[in-house]
Amino acid sequence: MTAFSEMLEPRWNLPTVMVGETIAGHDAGTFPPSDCSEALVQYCLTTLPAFNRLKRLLGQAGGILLLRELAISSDGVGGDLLRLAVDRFRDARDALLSRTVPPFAAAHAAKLKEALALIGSILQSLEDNVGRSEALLIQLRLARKCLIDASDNRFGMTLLDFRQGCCGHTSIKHIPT
Amino acid sequence: MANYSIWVLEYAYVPNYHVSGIIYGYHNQGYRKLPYCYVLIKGKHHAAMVDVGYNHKEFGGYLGDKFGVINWHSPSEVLKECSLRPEDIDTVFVTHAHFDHFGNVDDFPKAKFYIQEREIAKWVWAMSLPERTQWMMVAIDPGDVLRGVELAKNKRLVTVNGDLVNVLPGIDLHPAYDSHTFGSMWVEVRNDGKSTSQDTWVLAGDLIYVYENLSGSGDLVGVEKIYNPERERKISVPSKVAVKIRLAVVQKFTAWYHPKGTLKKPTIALMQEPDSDTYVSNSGLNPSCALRQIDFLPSHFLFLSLFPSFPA
Repeated sequence: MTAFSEMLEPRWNLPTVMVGETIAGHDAGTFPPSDCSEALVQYCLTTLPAFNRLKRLLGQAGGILLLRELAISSDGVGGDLLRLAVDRFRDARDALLSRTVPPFAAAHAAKLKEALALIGSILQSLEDNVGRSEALLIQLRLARKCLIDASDNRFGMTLLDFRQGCCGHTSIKHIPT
Repeated sequence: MANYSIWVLEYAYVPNYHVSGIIYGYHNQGYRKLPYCYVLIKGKHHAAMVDVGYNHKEFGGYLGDKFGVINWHSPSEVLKECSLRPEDIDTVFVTHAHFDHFGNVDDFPKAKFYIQEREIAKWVWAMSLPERTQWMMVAIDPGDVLRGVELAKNKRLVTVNGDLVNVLPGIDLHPAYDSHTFGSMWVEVRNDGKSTSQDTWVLAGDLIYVYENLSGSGDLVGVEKIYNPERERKISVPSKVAVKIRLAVVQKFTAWYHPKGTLKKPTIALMQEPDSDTYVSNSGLNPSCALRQIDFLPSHFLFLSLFPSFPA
């Protein structure tokens, strides 16, 4: 198993995170549906911005790869998209790694860090213009899987934001009468 | 004689959706059915779709529980009603990259997908914007981006830069930039195959939800008509579109025609019989977004407002 930090150091300054790593006693990053404790709510609400950053980074990295596959230039689109992604990555990394994680959320935090490491690796490959698309796509899928595992609809931690979509309004079925 | 039969296929719906989400300014005006649809364009040599719906495996449960989306049917079930299988579809026109239009590409293993280049490029750019602008990212699934990479890798994703005439015989693609999305696209079917067609059909994606978006009263928002084409009339219109457009087919569609007569099956509206000069249905139709979107509609649509008397 490769530690991504070995590949990413020193540029990304990531902790050692093993892909597929799980923490003893936890095999997923999710929380029991019945758990609505104050500590959990607090953790999830403060983690939501980091989750959203990772979600966007996943889209950015995938999108840059897609543009590369399609040979579409980012000129005129809005700047150097890879540079923007790297800047966002640094923000996400700093925010995620500077947090103190409560013990009950260790598995969840590990999932996010795993996603971070994967995305960092992908961005590095894109920046160095190395790596076959197929391999990068596998890493992207792994990163996405991490985020799916760490999703929790109750706190808005979802890969797809339905809140303002065409369908994204609570129907009458769910409105108290 | 028509070259294609055009079907609006409802694959799921929300039974009661607030009208204000459909028509600009219509707050406290009750609820309507909100169908989720895609369109089949079936010809002798091609079977094409406009959009492919959403990935039910990943989002079906959440959409059902949270937003009351019900009666989802797979493309296999839906297309069977038209004697086709998903693998028979050779072409898909993606009107925009929202999850409920672009999310189910995996179910169409042999299709080539067409999308506006700007739709893709601008989404990638938008994802890099600061947190406060993330409302722009609604309804975009990063997973769809990854599926897009897979399609591109297999040479099954084609990006279009602006208009594209005769992408299939008699079918044209047109952009509607900065409207419903950055690079929305609509499809024009010239069903007699002529460049100056007398049998033009517009497949509008989410650019128009209901006819009220075009011809409805604007009383509630202090204007005479909800869509005022006066400004558009000043725009030079190519002569080829100066023809009667029979009908805009709107994907958020309340179908009134159902060949099987059962509510449990997917609702299907046959828009035009193949090889016939008579059309079967008209749309009663559903939703639209904001007035801003209507303002940005291509000038073609003004012809719809010149022919307001659609069959009820």
